[in-house]
Amino acid sequence: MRRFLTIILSLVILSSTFLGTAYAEKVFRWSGSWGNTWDLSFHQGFIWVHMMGLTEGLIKWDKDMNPVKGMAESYTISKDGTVYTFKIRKDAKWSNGDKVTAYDFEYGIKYILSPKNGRGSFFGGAWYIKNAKDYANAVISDPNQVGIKVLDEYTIQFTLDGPHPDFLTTCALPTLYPMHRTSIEKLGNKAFDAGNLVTNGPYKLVGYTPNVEYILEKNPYYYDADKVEVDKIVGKLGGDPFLMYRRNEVDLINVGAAQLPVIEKDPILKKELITFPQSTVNLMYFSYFEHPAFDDRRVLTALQKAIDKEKICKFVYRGLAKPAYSVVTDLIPGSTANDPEVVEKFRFDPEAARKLLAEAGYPGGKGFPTVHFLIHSGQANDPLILAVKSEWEKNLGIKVIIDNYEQGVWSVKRFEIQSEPTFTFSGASYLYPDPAAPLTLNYAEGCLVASLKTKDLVEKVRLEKEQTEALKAGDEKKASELAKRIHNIIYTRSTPEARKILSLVQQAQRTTDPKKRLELYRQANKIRDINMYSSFPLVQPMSARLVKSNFEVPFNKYLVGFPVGFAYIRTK
Amino acid sequence: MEDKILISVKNLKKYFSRGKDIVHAVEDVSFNIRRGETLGLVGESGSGKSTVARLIIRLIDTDGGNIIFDGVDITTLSEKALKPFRRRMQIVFQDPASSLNPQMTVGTIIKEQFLIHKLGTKQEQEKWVEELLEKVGIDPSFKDAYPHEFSGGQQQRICIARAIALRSEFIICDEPLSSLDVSIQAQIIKLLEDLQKELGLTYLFISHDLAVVKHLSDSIAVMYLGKLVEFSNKKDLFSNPLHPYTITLLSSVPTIKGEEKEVELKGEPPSPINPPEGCPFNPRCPKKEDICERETPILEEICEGHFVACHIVQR
Amino acid sequence: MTQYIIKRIGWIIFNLLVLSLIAFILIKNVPGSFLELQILIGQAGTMGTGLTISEVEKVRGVETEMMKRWGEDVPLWQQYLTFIKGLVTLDMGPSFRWPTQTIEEIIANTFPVSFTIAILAVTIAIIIGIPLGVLAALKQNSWIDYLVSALVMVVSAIPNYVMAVFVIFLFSFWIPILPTYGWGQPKNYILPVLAMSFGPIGSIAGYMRTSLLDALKQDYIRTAWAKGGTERHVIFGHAMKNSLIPLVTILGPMISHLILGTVFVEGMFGVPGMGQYFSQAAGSRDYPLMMAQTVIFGLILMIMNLIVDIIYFFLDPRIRVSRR
Repeated sequence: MRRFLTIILSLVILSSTFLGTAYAEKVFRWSGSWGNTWDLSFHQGFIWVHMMGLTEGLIKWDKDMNPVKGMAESYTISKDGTVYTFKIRKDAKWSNGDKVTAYDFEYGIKYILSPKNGRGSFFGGAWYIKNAKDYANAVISDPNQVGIKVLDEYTIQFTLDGPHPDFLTTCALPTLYPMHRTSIEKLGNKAFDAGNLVTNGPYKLVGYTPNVEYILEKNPYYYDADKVEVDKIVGKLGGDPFLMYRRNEVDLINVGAAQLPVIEKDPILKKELITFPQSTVNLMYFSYFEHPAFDDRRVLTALQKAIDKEKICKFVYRGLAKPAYSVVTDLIPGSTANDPEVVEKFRFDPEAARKLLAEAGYPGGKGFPTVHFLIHSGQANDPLILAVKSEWEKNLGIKVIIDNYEQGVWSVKRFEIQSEPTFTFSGASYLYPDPAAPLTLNYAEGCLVASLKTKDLVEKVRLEKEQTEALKAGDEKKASELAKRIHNIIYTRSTPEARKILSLVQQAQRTTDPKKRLELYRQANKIRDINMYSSFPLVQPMSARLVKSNFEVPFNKYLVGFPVGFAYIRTK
Repeated sequence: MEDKILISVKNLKKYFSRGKDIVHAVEDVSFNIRRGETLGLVGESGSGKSTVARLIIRLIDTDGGNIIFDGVDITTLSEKALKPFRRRMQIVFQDPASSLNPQMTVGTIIKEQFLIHKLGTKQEQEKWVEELLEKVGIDPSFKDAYPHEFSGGQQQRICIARAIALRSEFIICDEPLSSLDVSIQAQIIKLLEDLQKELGLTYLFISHDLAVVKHLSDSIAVMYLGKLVEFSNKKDLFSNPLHPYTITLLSSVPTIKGEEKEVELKGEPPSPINPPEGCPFNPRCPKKEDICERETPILEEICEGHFVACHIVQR
Repeated sequence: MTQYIIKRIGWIIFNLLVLSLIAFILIKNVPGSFLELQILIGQAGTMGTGLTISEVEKVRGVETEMMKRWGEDVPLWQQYLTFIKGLVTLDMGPSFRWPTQTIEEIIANTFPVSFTIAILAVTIAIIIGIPLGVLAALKQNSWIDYLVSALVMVVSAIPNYVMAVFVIFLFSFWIPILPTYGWGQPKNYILPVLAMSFGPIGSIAGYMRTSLLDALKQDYIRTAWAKGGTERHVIFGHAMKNSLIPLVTILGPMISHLILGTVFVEGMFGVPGMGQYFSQAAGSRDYPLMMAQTVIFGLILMIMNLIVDIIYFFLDPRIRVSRR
């Protein structure tokens, strides 16, 4: 019986290896994920899109994430940096053989911007285009007012609302992608099914089973198809990645801190492990509540100085993270994350923290209000949150309560005004290496809000809720009056430092000289890092990946650690 | 005389294990039943009388003693060797509803035995079924009906028809009346009597109710806690009961309904797991003496054909 | 019988209406909305880019457009009627979470998969569970019985996702003959079906054991022995059929739960079934999918119960004849 089994087994194994070698095709399989549709206007998966290589923008990223010409053959930028004119390459083709034209870009960008499509929460570089934001938010309804102009079949021109040097790099992101008009107009939603989806990038979608896998194949019409080495990409959307990797069913997986000890012990896995920093900061920030203790800079400094980030990185993350002292990671140019002054101010020092807290009137945590951590079920097992709780309780003697809510309930609760001091936890990722990625004008305005005293912040939120009600009731007059009052609070009660940040960013956005621009952003970053207290940066996690040794995969540190593009994967 | 004895039970023993405990269900029970006669076996519930019935027809194996059926010791016969004897003895259970397979029509239930014992052709089998049903007073046209379509009394008639189907000589009736109404009880007793006369059947009639047994039996055995305490012909037992337990049982007979027995007897019967030392009846016996707690009395013949196991009476 | 089935189907429809109404009211009253959660997800990735939507912007632009598209700009009663209309005409529109798939497509694509897997798992469970239960019952209080009872307890207590890892280790590592993940080939069915069948094997074996022991205690079994029947005759002719009847009652709910409650196994092996769609529906406030899920679950459960009752009808003369 045993003999018989052995024979059967070896036959099975032999036949499978035979089948495996019968194809000369190069296949790269990875354990990935994907949003729930291939309609880019629902870009729930926007951060993956460049990697997939399905659709290509005017600009693409090379394997080191430098913006290089993609669909564009050449481009010109006006002197004031507000008008971009792109010439589209003549040999650009869609996966069905159609030529890629300027009209496809106009159609695609407006399709994604349209409030009727998708769900608009992130519009990347598209929001730099004149009137684009108002159109996306249905403030204006005429798409022709958006600053996109087709000059001829192969020439497209964008008019921006100011000089945005990072516009070029955002052209590689999906909000500025072309779309294949005829197939979408003909097939409607079915145009986004595997087999129907028409793409212009190095790959095309040939198979998709929701929750199971997707299959991409080389697009033979791609102008640079010769340089694409891997013929077929298989993304597996479920399963236990580590088991699948060890069974040789996938070539790339993400690994977490928990798997590190196993990998360390295995000589082969150890060689295949790749770790690299990631442009993400895990942080915690205030909710809306009123308490004088949290207007006191000494208290806020004490709270930050009481967290031993080194220890957390070592034990919670097993070395797969480093302490963060800025909400902007050191991978972004102009970041002051490693500025000695910033680090020194918030460095772990329980003695100093206790002293600051005592000076503020809470010796040994006496009389300090109970702090709540408002978390959702997805964070319930996050050791970082538990670590912060225990650090504060141990080092400052204050009491922390964790309130765990279902995600949907949490999404409402966190916008409510809390009766006791409350923090929520989140991560901030920056999508491309430009100082403007984190420091937009919106964000600078956010800094003003962040510098408000807690009671002013609560008042602002109350007024906003009233404004929402007024708008729902159709009372435009009341709404605009409330808007004025809100504006007043933000601009008169915020700190001078915050207003300085705003003016620096405004200045930077008008500056075309790269060196000057970078310096302005650096100054803004430093002021924020030293003076902003509404969010506490905690750690900057690192990515860990296992890659089979026969593949060479360039990783993107800015897109939560996925490959820059499947088209750049090389076999060894 | 000996040749008239159809079934003889000698020192029958049966123990059950309940976890670590051993239940003395049947302890040294011996009796004979003559052909064509009826032995009434009386006792409270838990006294082991139903176990005796199951031992005799070999539904369960004995732990000691012998069962001699028509001169053959069937105690340890294999199921195969037993098969001819199975034809000759049958049993009627207490609850007719549960002793008829709800999945089968009554015709099939009766016919099944002919199939098992390979008797007759198909037509003959059908004919026999109809005859049998008629004999027990059921309209033969109902042979394709299911058991639940009949009343309790009718179901018991079907059980009886099934029991006599193979022309068995020996029928054990294990409390066949206790689940039936009083008015129907009388009809079933009548049926059993008629059948006995007509077919010359031998009955072992088990009941907790002396009144019922009195009517049917030729001789009566009284069981208490797995042991036989008194054995006699009917006349002697009723006119001259000797064992104190029999006396208390009899004192409640005229009221017919068994409920008042409990009033007459002190306390509950002791557990068969830990039977009392000496005479098993001693904790409840009105005439108890010291010896009763020390020695277990043996069944002895006091006068012609009248056996009693009691120290007091034997003196 | 036909009349009875028609009556039952009438009840099913009525129950579904009540069920969907209750579900609708509950679902619409839970805090949080799809949009709110989408903004949350968007923010998690872009915080710091400042590209978040404030309350005011939501009301002014995106939210109203979204609500219009999802039919949420009309009063609740009208939304409910729209849902019922969609249900009747089998045109329930797109899911929120899977915007390019309609509810009907999702169900049409996934139900056959879930159903096949569930039926296969139950079939295996029956093939293995019944003999195990019978064996345990026949050898009551022997080591076989104790072994089976212990096995029953273990497999019923271990959740199927643990079993999933166990079968992966067994058939993908120790005896490496099967892939851990994938769909499309017959061999892909083996592991998920196996992982899912352990629990049912346990409950079926346990049920079978109790039920057969119960049947064996019946007087008609003693009668059958007294008739001179052989062991085979008594057990298979009399006891088995009766002990199968209670077993049928647990099969209905068992199959319905396997059809819908296989999220972990689906995720683990890459089975494109309903479980994963539905498990994510509530968490993301995908109202159309949540409603469809409620109705489907109710429908499957009620249909299974109807089928069970019909089987019962044929198995048990006590029911069949009294309705004659």
